[in-house]
Amino acid sequence: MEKSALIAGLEALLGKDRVLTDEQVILDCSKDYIGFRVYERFDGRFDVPRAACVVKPKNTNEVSAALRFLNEYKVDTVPRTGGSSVTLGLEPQEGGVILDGSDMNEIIGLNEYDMMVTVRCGTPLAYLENYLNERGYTTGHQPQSLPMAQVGGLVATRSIGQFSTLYGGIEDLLMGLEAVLPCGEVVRIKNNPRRSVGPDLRHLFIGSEGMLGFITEATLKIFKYKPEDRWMNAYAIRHMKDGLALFREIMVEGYRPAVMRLHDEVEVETLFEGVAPDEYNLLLFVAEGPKPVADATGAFIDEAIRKYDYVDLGKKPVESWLVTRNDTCDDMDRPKYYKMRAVADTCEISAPWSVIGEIHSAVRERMPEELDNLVTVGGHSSHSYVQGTNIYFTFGYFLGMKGGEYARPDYMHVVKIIMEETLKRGGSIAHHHGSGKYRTQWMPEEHGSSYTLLYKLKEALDPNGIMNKGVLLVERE
Amino acid sequence: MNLLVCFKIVPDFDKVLPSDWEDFSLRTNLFYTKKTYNVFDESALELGLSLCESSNRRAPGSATCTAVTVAQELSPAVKKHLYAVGFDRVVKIESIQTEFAPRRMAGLLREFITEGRFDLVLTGVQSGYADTGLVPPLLASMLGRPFVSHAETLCFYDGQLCVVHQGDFGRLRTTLELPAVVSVGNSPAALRAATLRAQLMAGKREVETVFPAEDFFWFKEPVFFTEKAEKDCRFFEEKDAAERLFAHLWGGGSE
Ligand SMILES: Cc1cc2nc3c(=O)[nH]c(=O)nc-3n(C[C@H](O)[C@H](O)[C@H](O)COP(=O)(O)OP(=O)(O)OC[C@H]3O[C@@H](n4cnc5c(N)ncnc54)[C@H](O)[C@@H]3O)c2cc1C
Repeated sequence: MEKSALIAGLEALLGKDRVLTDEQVILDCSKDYIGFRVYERFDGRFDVPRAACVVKPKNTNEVSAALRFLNEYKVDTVPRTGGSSVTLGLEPQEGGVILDGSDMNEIIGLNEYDMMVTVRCGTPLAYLENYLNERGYTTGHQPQSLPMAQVGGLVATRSIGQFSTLYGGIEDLLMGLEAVLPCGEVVRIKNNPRRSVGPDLRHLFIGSEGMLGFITEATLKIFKYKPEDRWMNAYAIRHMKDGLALFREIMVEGYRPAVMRLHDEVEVETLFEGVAPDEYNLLLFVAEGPKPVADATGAFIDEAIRKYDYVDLGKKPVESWLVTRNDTCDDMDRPKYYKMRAVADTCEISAPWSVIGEIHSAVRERMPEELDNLVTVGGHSSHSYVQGTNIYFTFGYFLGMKGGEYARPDYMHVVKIIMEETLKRGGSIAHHHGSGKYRTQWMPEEHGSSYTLLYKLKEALDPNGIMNKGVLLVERE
Repeated sequence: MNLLVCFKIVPDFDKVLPSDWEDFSLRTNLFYTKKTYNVFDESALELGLSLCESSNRRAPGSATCTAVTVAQELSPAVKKHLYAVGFDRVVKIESIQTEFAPRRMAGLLREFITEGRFDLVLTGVQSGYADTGLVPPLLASMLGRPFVSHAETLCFYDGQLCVVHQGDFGRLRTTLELPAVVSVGNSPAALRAATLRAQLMAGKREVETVFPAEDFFWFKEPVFFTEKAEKDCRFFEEKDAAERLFAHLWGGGSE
């Protein structure tokens, strides 16, 4: 479809003020925070496909009208809310449309008796969390991108928060939702504590990364918020494997601290230099909920750690982490690493207890062998389950001697190592950031024989293939 | 040319708990905060390194670069990083009380500089922690050398050091004959990252420790207090906002 006809058609449906064609607005809305893109932006490169416009609907009807039109004319469409994607998930197709739900930002209703809150997709999580905290509640969802992300994107990416070991990921917190299918049809999934009425349809949208429809509304569980009753403590532990064994024991014995973080000795050097003794790993714990439960969880941890080589660091490192844990969001548009001529980023995977330590070691061993410009590779476990945990790798490489054109190839080399070492041992290649457009090539191996189901879903819900091309699914001829 | 960069490792203030700020003293234990290069020193380290590299490119072996700190301890990570990015020597002048003692700091550095025959000395303009901003000018005056403060960039031009620095009325360009002392201010330079390979090689090298001949001095800890000035924030909106603001500020308004 001709660009002018596309814009005129959308303006006729939603009004001129809802269809933005300004070059800078389009660039800003196409901005993704994957490490190499951040570097490239400061380096003056911006090789991102240009969308024809950004459409900002005010309500579900407008989303529906826009999608019906875009579907009819087979226009590539990328949903967007908070814009904190780190996976290229937000980058549009050339000449396509960015459907931005960030103006749909409203808390529709707080139900204190049934303990849930309903919001529109563009509601900033930070706003919602403050609103709830003031009333003595929390969503329990505290991703590091809390100051940036909005509810639609959080559901669409299958996100997780730093307090997940107690509250779970968004899949455990979402009660029901409203979404608009690519054909413009509006579907609602009602809010109930549990149902046995067929496959759980919420999961069509949780983690769909905008490729099956546009999420317009979500209802989230809420919990009592009592930070004054928290138990917290930090420890240094000599060996990473001991830290992982401790985490496993805590989970298997049935304790659920909200926060349980184990940073390896490399991350101690890069993120917490001087806080733990040299060569030690760092453990941060927060237990919350009713005070006796938090205290009992703390007492167990304090006892269980004694069989290892450890140092008790008290609660100040945790208190400080709690206050500053999301500050990195303020740096996302600053040339902090660019000034060092380096690219720095993270990549998260998960695996059962039996192999997670091996994946961590294998990645840390292989990366310096293959990248002579590697500056750092470390990792932490921050979301644990009875059966296993995640590792969130942090890495950086130096481009000083190579030049900015290597930002992407070196990045993908790093990711390839992490993906391969994880898949080789049966782990999962993405714990919470999603596939986006940069991990898609590993999705066939990740899903194996079940991958065909994703194509079938796509064909059924988005037969014209207009929604977020390139995420999750490898393009077929 | 022998170039020396003076640096200090300080707590990351962004990580200090509000409760510790409220009751701050030199005894406040900030063990839980990340330790990092003082921001101005970090720029000085990069500027020094770059200057040395460009000198050596023009005349190989003509310049050496040393990093020095006055401290009780220097972590292996910092040592490793400095060697890995290319410093020829990393030196620690061992001393216990380094805060609020600018004359003593300058004295210890002067001794080291005189013995080591350093032509160019770079420092940060001040430390973010327990800072007086006095060490660089005191050091220059003790050495009897020309001094430029708040440098942003440095280069050699026609055998002279060319410094772009912030003056009272804007940016200035000053040329200096060596030996000289330059303190670095709001420079865009950030200390480069070191590759793991370079860090691995650097891991084996040791910090040179210098024990000052006489390091006794009388230290009186300063007393800190927080000014608890009441702040008030109000919004004046609508058409008559200006009049109401005026009335509030000067007319004893009660809004
Ligand atoms: C500093 C930083 C820290 C982070 N920390 C975490 C963390 O702790 N945990 C975590 O899980 N993630 C984290 N992330 C990743 C990111 O914040 C999450 O993926 C988040 O869920 C994205 O939400 P958003 O509103 O910003 O979505 P966007 O960036 O706008 O979109 C993300 C994806 O969702 C799709 N999408 C957006 N809105 C809709 C909608 N209404 N309907 C359908 N699809 C939609 C988009 O097409 C895109 O594919 C972090 C990112 C940054 C930059």
